[in-house]
Amino acid sequence: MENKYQDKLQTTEGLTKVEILNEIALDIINDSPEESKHYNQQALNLIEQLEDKPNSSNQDDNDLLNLKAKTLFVKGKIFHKSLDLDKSRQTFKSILNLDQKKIIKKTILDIYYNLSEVNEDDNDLLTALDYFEKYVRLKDDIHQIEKNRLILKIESEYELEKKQKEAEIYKLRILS
Amino acid sequence: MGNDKNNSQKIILEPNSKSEKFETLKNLIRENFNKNPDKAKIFKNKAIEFLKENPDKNKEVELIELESDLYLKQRNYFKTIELAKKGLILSEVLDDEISKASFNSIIAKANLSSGRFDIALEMFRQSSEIYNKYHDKKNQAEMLNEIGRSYRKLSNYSTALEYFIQSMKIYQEINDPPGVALNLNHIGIINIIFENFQKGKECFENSLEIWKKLNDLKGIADAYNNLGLAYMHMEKYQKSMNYYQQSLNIKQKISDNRGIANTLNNMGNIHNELKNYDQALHCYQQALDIKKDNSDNRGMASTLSNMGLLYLKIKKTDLAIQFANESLNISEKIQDNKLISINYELLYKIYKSIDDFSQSLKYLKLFSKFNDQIYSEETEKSITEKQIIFKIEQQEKDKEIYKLKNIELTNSNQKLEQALKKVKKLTGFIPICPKCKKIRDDQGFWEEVETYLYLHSDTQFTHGLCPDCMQKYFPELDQYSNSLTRNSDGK
Repeated sequence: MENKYQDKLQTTEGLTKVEILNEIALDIINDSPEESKHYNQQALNLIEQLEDKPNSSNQDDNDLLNLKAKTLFVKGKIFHKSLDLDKSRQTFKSILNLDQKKIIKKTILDIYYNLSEVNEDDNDLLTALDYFEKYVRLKDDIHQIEKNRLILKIESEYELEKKQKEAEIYKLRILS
Repeated sequence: MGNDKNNSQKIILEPNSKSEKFETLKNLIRENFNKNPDKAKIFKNKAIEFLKENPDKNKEVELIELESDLYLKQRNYFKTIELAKKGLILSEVLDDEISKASFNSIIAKANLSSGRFDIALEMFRQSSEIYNKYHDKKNQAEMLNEIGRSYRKLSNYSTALEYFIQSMKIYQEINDPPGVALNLNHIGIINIIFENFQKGKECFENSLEIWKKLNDLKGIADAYNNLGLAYMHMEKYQKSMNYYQQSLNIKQKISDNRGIANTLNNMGNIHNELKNYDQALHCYQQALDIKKDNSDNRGMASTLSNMGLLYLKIKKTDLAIQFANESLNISEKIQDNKLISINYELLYKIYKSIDDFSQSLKYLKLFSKFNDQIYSEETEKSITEKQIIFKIEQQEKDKEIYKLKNIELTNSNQKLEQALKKVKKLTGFIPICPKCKKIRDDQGFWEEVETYLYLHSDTQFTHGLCPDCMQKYFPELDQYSNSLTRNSDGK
């Protein structure tokens, strides 16, 4: 493991540590799947410990749930890499059983995509197609939301400038 | 017959005056520009020679204007802009604002067609302001229409609508029915986009009335086609079909091939909705043949894709695959991402319908990949368009601020000048009587100092007595006042 991770692991705890463990697991997934599995397991254990502790707010609950989804996603990917397609499929599906309203759409999108890939590798093309269709539909929604967000951002920036200019015009009209 | 032709040619080539000769050369360039470019070049060289022999900068401007306009019609935007810029410089030198407006408009049109909307809008605005200054209402109305078209291309439909209405009002004011009808057409289309189908329909009906009065067949055919479109959106398919048919009849009469193909395609869509699949296919096939003859690749790909979808509907999947693939090939050749994506989606659906999930998945993946690309392009385009609109609006506001600041500055200057005038009167030599201290004014009258200063400055007087005058005129009051001062000091 690289030193950068070693240092980070020693200095962090809680949710941040889980994030780093996930980062390491994904980083080494192709070269050493076994080691990747080890870090992923550490992340899952840490999540279990965090789940047992009472959390201070709903936001913390949501963050923990999303991190759990992300860690399970890494687990599913490790199984897929190790060609354990059944376990991979089960792991990905288990994420879809979590409270979907609270999980960020991007994670669900990744799961649909990977479920399609796993089923394609397993030669279940109908199911692969079904998940890919879900992936395409969700991606369209995400794109639409993202596009509207970007346009709204530009519009609000512009509105501010516009109001400043209008105030100046108003002031000058009074003076003239 | 042959003699007649020779005579008329002779008349054309032997004009009476120099002006007529130049006009004839211009007409010959115009006539041959598309049909026979080499011949047009010969006439252009003759026109240049003519201008060398008879130097006339205004005629030079006219020649550039003609040529740039012809290139614009030929869709050679690079050459159009190059020439029009040359014309713009020449009209600047000649201080000919109307020609400047005309070249601005040509450059703007070329930019609009090349998708450079911000430049187009700015130049149309400049032209519009010049025409407005010279009360050239017709050209001003045309510029407002062009600004509306630019905003329509930028998908800013409400602003586009405002400009079309402004343009239409001017055309109404100067009694120009074709201008009114043209704007009604644009206003109708924007209403259709806003899903105000009834209003859109009314605009097209009014436009139709005008074209009928003018006996303008192209206008009538377009209005019928648009009415068909309005009724199609209102899901009144039979009425829609009737209008399309009337449009088609006229377009056939005037050999408007592009128009015929479009209307046939629209008719195919209606037959498709009405489940008259054979008739739909017949219309699509006719449209396809015309588009092939016109080398309209985009149109061909679009109709082939429609046919593929129809074959999928009637479960003739082999034909559906064949048409979708043909459309896909053309779309790839012309690099039309939207059409490519449509065909990938169609092929995914066709293969799914015949349970070939491997192929279906392959095309769905390709469709998804292309959609990502289209999404990025469209988002970028939408953002750029928004930024352009905002930039233009900001420029308008900046202009107003500049104008108001100018007014403020002018007012301040005027006030300063007035004040300076007053100051001047008081800084010159003032004739004053050494005895009574009266001052002589410009008219020779002697005025009291107070009156003079009151009239020639912003000074006002309040009266009091100086100690010397107090002692001189009111000695008893002066003594009393002194005793009061002494008492107060002794306290």
